[in-house]
Amino acid sequence: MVKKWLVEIISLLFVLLFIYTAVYKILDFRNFQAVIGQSPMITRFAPSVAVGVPIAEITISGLLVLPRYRIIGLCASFALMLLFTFYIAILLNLNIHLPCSCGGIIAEMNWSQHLIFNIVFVILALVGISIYKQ
Amino acid sequence: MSNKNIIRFVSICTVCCGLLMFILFITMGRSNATKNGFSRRIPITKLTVAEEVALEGSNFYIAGHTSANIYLGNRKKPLDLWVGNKNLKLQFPEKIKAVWQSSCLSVDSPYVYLSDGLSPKFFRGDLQSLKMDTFLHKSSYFTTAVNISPASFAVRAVNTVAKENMLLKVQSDSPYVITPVNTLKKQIDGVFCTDGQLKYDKASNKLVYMYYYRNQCLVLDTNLNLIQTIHTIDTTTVAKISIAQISDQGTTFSAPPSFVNATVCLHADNIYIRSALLGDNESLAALREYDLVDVYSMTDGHYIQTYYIPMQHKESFTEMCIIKDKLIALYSHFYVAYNLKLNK
Repeated sequence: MVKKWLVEIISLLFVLLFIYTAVYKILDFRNFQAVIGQSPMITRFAPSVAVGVPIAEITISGLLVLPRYRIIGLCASFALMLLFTFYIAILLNLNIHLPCSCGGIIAEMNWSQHLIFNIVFVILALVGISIYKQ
Repeated sequence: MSNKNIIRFVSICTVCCGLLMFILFITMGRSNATKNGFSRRIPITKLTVAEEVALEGSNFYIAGHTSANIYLGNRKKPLDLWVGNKNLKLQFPEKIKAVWQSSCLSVDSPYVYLSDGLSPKFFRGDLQSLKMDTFLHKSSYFTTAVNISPASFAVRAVNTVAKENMLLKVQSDSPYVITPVNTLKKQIDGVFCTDGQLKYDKASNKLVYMYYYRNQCLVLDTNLNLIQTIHTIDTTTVAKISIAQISDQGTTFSAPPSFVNATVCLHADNIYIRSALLGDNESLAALREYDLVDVYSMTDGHYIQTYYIPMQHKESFTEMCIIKDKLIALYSHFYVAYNLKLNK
């Protein structure tokens, strides 16, 4: 029972995070696209990444909400957060000072805090996957 | 999912994500990845450290210097002036709003000035009493200000009609604001593409405007008339920047800007420019270990020589000035004095 609730809570946290940041990105889309273009790693793909990331976030939220697809949603959340985490880790090592484009209060964190925040969410996803209907 | 499947999923996912980011990382655009089409004069002089001075905190900028002292301002504490780590509290005649993050201190002994482009306001005081008084009451808004005499400033402002940067002179007598023919030439958007640094050299009574994104420096007289355009040795004639309109008023970069010139200082009729670009006859390793400073003549614009300045704690310096035979370079938490005269 506890495990069931834990999975519910973890899914809810991811839905909140993804919907919140996706809405921010869409509301301020032109800014979001410009800011991610400033990152030398994504400059070339900025237009597609700018569309792709919010769509991925909303899609994953949908998967997490539907009980039938929840496990796929958790796996996808894990993958997406891991991708962001690797990206931040590389940026931190490059010593490039860029604005964060996550949106809302998430963007108020500095890069080191951001890295920790992401790692926590990666672990949460992992916990969610491993206790799901075990 | 069984434990075995979870482990399999997690490891495949980690490898894929890592690989994807690694590919993005190794294929990303680097400004010095290809040949830049110019060469530096050999031999290049490597400067040696004379002294390193630690600073309390960060966000410092060089406000000015005398033959003995270097004065620093701090962007986070806009009303305080520092000599090394000694804090000089400036006294203002009125309550100053703390929102003045855009304000800037400049020292030209015996005076110290505070200019704020958002208000816009100017204050002047002397370094002995530190009592500041308002002056230059009629000014336009500006984004950069450089003191050129006890009664005038050269400023860079944004022409709101043309949406372009322009240089103006603000002075205490009528006409209070002089608008000469604009010398900043628009290439892309007029604001970002003309961004740069404005400096004044008291000895030669000239101003220099260094562009960040193109290979040019403008030498101006104190009425902001163009005397000469100096071309730096690299080949970037047109700014390599891309701009996105993000709202009715706002614009921002939509790709990393390609810096040509990082910072400038003037001394003894020479222009010292920290270049961001590597010459074809230099190794990439040089750019990881040294900051590159090219010296040009202010009178005829000729390239004289290049200094290699060792990076300190893997940091490039942000600003520099020259006091006698020392080049002072400012870093985030410290400054370093380098010997310009070599003891051979």
